Amino acid sequence: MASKGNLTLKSCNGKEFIVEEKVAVMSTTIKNMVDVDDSFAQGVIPIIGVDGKILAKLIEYCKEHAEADEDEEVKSEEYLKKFDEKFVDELNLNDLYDLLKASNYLEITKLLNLLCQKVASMIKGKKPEEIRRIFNIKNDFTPEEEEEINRQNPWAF
Amino acid sequence: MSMDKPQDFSSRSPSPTRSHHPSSDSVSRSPRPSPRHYALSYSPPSPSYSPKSPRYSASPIPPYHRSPSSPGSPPGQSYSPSSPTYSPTSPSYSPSTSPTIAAADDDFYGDYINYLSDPFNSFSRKRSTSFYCPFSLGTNSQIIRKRRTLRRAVDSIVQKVEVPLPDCISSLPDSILIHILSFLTMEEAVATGVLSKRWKYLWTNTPNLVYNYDENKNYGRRHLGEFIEFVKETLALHTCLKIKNFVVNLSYHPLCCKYFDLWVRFAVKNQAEELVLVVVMNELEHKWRWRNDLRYILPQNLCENSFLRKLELSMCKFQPSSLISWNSLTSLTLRYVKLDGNIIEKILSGSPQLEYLELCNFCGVHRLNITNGSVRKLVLRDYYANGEDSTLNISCPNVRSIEISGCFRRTKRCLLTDTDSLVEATLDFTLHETDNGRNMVQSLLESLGKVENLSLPTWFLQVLVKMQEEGVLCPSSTRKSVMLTGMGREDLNGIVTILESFPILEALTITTTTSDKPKNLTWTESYPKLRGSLNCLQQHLKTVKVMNYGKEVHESGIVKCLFENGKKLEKMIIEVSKTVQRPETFQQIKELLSIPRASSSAIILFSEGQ
Repeated sequence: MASKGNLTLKSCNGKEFIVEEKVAVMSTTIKNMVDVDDSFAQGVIPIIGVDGKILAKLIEYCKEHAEADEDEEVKSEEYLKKFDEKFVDELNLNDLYDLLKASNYLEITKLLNLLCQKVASMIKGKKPEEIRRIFNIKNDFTPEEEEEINRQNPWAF
Repeated sequence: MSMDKPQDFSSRSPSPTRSHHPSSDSVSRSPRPSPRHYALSYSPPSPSYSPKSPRYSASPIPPYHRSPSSPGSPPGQSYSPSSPTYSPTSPSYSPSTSPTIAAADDDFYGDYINYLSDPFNSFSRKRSTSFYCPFSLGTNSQIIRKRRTLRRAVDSIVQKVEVPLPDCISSLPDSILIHILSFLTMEEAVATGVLSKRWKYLWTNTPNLVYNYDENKNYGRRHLGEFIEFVKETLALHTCLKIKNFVVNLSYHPLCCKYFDLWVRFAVKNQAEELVLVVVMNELEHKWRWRNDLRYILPQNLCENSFLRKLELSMCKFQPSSLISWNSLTSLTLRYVKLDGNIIEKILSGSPQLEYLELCNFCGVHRLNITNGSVRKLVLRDYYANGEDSTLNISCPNVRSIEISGCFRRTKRCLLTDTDSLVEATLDFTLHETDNGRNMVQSLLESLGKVENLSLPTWFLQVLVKMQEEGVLCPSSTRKSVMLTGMGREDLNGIVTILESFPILEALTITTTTSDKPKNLTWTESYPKLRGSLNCLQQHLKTVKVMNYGKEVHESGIVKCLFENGKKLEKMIIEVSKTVQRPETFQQIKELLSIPRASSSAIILFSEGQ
């Protein structure tokens, strides 16, 4: 059982994580749950649809940022920037998608921005064919349809 | 799925149905291709394989039509790539359920490898026909050997090929994809519309509309016209009701003002929080604009807006009668603007939250009273002092940081008053009429005497040197730190002057310039000056930081001088420029370590800069 000031988060595959409250409330969703219902603060908070691996990643991120918010001296802005860079660089595509969904659901705005920016940077400056290959997007346009879209926006292509 | 048991194939006995192929014996003595050859020839798929390929032309039966007519296989159940039963998900594809597949083992393996390397993607007939199978068909024993080779080839591919992911990104919810698009410019966001049907109209929902016209990428007025068309068209299709940012960066166009009206209305209607309209003008157009005074008159609905947090406008004009009320505005930038004291007062009193104020290419005002208590940073860039009076008076009682840059025309003096709150002042401007330099330096150094972080441009030093030579006293200061930007080779005397003018200076930061300036001074000339018993070096100077180290050759001389003479020196920080690759720089750095130091406690630190 979590001690005072700590919360227990349970992933969808049954893994439990005990985290400090300040770390957990980086997620607006969890913050709202704890604020509205006190029983969550004592018991276990189920995190639906997020497995243990992804939840561990989320907690790793929130921990760094919560600590940085509290003590700017130890974890400076520069340190956080480097941490963020490393954090997103180490993700494979699958984890990236899972984290995107999880941070969207849990409303961890900072992380969502970071991840979306990462995906955007993968799209930036690339030809559609390259983007399709990177993300394995299936082109379901007929050649005629594709040509039509290209014709409509000559500036963008 | 069959892909986890490729050994099934080799355990099968060689099929007698091979004999159906008349060409197999005729080419049986051809050398057996190695597995390496096989693997190499797979990627990229060779275009030479087709039913019409010369390799197969020896066969009277086209390779894809062998099986149905082969004597060993019952008709109807046969394997054929073009048959509808042939698909990765079809049960008939599995070798255990389809004994007749042995008839086309080689083809099967080929397609099987194709499938392994791309199991989720379109396993179309087009793909499988592009596969090039370099094997000749041989006798039974050769077939066995071939199969083993093939198996090894398959195994090695199974290990090497990273299975691509399915199209997960398109299965993300709209909100996330739109969030991703919001980090792109409109050009890039609209381009994602061609990826697939899922993406076609996603961009129309993005809350950030950023249009950047890149003059280097697209040249000429015609392209600018196309760009403006693009902005117009995409705005017409945009469906998001509440937008966050609306940014248009473009080069000057004669019809700018007309479009501005449309864009401003769009931004106001959609309650934009950030509206940025930037026009880049060249010098000629700039002059023309000043003369003709063709400006966009701001509509009243923009002047009274409580959604805007950030506003950047170019070539605009405030109507004298207009009321200004920007309750949420924190950042305001005005470019190519004619102001008067009355307008400035209105803006400041109408924007109680304003923290950042930037004026670029402005004229018509000689007195800037930043009375608004919330303004923390003031930036002034490119000023034109029109009219009789050529003094710019700035009063900034609450401003903490001020930046003056660009070119100041017809400006004799710049007076800063009420500077008690200033902690940071960055001066990086030039004067169009250099005769005014002395007045400017004197007036500014006097008013910025107490500012903690002061950054001065090079020409200040040159003026100071001249003043010293003529015996004019430089405004003395109780300054403890100073930063010098754009140091070139010729500015060494300036450093000496600085050290003399600021007798209790403790921290000195030098940023060297990258430009190649004329080399007026050599090192030996300035040494004697530094060696004089400078009060500052003897008693005060503790920290020296040299940024951008390695861009100029003379820096090591500065470091050497300061080390040899600075009796109180504690720290010398050298930020080595990342872009410098010169070997002599590294040699210099090595030498720096062995310079004798006047202060026993002096240390040298190296860091990597930009």
